[in-house]
Amino acid sequence: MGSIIDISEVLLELGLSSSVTDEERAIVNTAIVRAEGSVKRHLRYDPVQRTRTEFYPLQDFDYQARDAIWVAEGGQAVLQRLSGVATSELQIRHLPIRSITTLAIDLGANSGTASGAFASDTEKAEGTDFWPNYEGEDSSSNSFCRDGIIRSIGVWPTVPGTVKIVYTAGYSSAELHGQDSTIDASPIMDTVIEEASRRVRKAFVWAKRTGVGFTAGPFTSENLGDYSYSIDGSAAARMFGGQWDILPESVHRLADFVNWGYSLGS
Amino acid sequence: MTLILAFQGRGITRDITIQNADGNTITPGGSDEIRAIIGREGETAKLTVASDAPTANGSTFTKGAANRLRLDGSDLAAIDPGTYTLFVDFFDNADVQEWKNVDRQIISIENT
Repeated sequence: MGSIIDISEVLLELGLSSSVTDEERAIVNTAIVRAEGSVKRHLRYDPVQRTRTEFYPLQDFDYQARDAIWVAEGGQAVLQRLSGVATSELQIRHLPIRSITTLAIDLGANSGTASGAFASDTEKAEGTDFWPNYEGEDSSSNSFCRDGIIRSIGVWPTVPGTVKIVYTAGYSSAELHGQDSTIDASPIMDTVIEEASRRVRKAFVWAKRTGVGFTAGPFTSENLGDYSYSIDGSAAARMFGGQWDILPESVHRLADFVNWGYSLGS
Repeated sequence: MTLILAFQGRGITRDITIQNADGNTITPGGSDEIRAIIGREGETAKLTVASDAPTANGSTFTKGAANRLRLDGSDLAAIDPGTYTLFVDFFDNADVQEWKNVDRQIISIENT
């Protein structure tokens, strides 16, 4: 059920490779979905390679006239007034950019809801009107852009929903599994396996807690004469992560992949 | 369920017994088929071997009381090392003529 990892990888991590019940398998599947959701929330994007259609910019920037430029739109020349925040860099959400299928600018598009929005004559040419900030080539000799920034020959519109981008972004299965010779996105897979396993262990321990006399935690001491033992119950919270959506070590592991630019506003 | 350890470039043979919910062995009939798929859920299969469709490299899945799965080393060499799911399917000709998933096991493929 996961899109980043396979259930077999979590079962192996948990030591359930030789035998697993249907209930355990269902718990693991649910844990994988939840773990992948947590990782995607932290990254600010879905790291699995897909083709997406998105509208930019997202924010409604305050208008303060700075300058005016002529731009071509639909076969006409339009005088575009520039906001003080207008920029030639556009930060898009999903990383890394692998290719741009189409990019269109329509100042009256209203995020695609206007009649005739983003007609074919509003499409721009890559390499001439815009270009992603490509930084290298992957193992298939295709360019990729890790920071998700697309540059414009001029400046990008500041009216929300006036730029429509159809693009492919994300990591391949081989890259997520550390099997690619150029791009290594295995920390993402590693984090999902860790977080899914943590959720499964928590569920298994919680199921046992309903049994009489069960207390979760490692022994801290045990005596034979007048038998007694002590259990560190707080260890359970540390092992299973308490209230964390993702653990601090997962945050550290994913630091190189988070779309910080998108989280600061697009 | 079991863990199968395989190596790139080295063939492997496993006998797989299919049982029904009562634990009785099912022997595929003349019109039934069996299939083994190596891959990850949601992704394109890395390798598919069926009783009526052996691979070009010679991987086979032969029907019988103990269905014999033979994975050729060349087919395994084409799969990147890692952990995958081995899907075992049964084409039940007598029941709606559809592929039924019998079991999902873990197969771990290593470098040689």
